[in-house]
Amino acid sequence: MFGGLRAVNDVSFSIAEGAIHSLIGPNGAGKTTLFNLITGLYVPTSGEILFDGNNVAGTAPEKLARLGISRSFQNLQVCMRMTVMDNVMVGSHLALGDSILQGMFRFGGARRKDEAAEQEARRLMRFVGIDDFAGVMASDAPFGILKRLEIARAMATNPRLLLLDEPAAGLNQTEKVALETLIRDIAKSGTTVVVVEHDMKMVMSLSDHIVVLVNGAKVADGGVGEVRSNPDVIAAYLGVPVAKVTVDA
Amino acid sequence: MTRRLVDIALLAGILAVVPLFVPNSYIFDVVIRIGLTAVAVIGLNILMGLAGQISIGHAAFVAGAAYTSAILTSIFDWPALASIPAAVVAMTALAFLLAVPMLRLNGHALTIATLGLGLILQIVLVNEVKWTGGPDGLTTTPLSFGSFAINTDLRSYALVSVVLVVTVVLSQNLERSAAGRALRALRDSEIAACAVGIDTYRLKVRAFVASAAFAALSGALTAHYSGFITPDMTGFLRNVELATMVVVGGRGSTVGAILGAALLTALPQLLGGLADYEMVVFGLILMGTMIILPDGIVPSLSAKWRGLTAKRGPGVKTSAAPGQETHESVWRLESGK
Repeated sequence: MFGGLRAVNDVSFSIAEGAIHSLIGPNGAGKTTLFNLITGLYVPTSGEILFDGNNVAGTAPEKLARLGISRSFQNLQVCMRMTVMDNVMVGSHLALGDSILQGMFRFGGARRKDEAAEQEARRLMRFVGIDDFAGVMASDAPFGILKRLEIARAMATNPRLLLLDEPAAGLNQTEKVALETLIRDIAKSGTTVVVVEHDMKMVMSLSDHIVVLVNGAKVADGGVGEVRSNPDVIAAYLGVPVAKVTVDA
Repeated sequence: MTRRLVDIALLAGILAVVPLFVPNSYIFDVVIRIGLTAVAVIGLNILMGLAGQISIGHAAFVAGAAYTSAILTSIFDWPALASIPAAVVAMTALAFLLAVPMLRLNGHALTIATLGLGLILQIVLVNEVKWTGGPDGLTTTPLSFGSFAINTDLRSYALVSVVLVVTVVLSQNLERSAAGRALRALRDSEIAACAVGIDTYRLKVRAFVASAAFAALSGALTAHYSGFITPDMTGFLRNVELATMVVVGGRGSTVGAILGAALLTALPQLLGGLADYEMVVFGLILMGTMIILPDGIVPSLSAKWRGLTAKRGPGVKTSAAPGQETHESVWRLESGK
């Protein structure tokens, strides 16, 4: 709750492993808030978030990352004073640790593990198509590259559940097609994907399952066809007809 | 890899030839003090430059270690060879105990808490006359390895040079390591850092302790080099000065840390002839530097160089950054002191 405002109210849905899910709804519906709740940036006032049957509501973000929940951000959270490569390698943090002594004295196979992480980062950068920008400072890289950088970084954590917040925003048509293929490939590799997206064409062609939020409440939940024909969804997106005009000529 | 070795060889080479150009022992003293201070500033850069947390209290660890080592040698008759490591260990442990509650604070609150730390120690040093000699300070004995005492300029210089090179190697190793990336990630986006599983609080504590360890090493060595220490070592000015050295040289740059230490140690000496106007000119020079080179000397110049040559590669580390933290503007003002 934000000063009495219920941003997300009584929303309940479940996510099947290995599928592509979409979370849609008009601006201000609470989609990003829901992501922030799932990833631990916000603590819910009430309710449960079950991951693998365990309630993880209110767990710190770094612990959720350890459990296998990773995400990208709608408003970029990229480390601007680091190279694209270093940004992606930060995603391998859990495999590498953060011992300052180990960093200074390079013991315990630190160098070997770092090289493995670099290989993995290169593979992921190729996977999302940003390998040409590996050595470029993030502040010098274009927006579309940074969007995909966030996906690569999230993938580097080796997630079981990947949350993508408006991954197609600001991308051109060619980039959107590439993104769609990328998301399918991620799901194929066994990672469960949840996408918040406004591009309906993409949502409809991509999703196995869609959840619709309006004003913080769930109005629909189901397969593409089911959601598409739901009158509440149509009302939310197109508005309710006020009057019926019948014209006779 | 090779570039790193070239950097280190270059630093060692410069350090080796400097004594040839030192005209008298007064300048030699300044040079040695620059080296000693640089060790503390490189350490502080781990906290301020890499982790992005501002401390204006690290002179407390410098002075704390200096007094610990001085008291152990003068009152308990320890050899300096044992008291220096003991002082570093003691200050590192103290830094950990202080970091656990303090690093729960963020931004300006943390900065103010560190300032309190520096000033409280100064009050303790002034008042515990029995141990510290009070405002008059303490005399210290030189460090010696068996019968080989570090009691000449050249010997002190050689020791400081070795310590400085080791500090630089450790700092650069850290910068390129997984922990170094995690620290920089924490500085640039705390949200991104915790989203990939970095325990930001724990990492801040570690950075604080590591930076205090270098400050302590610098302090303990300074005590036995200078032969005399006073509570001014952790006065307000000295605390702010250390942080200013990091900012002027360039946060996140090891070379910048050395340059910052050199500039701010040497400038007051050069300006000595201006008497009362010394601080005014000093302040103007600092303000000018921060206006022309807002990211600090080394990062700003290397970004300009990068722009000129338009060469991009993983070897290039620092850059002018959009959207820096809000401390930045405050610091540009503060450093004008």
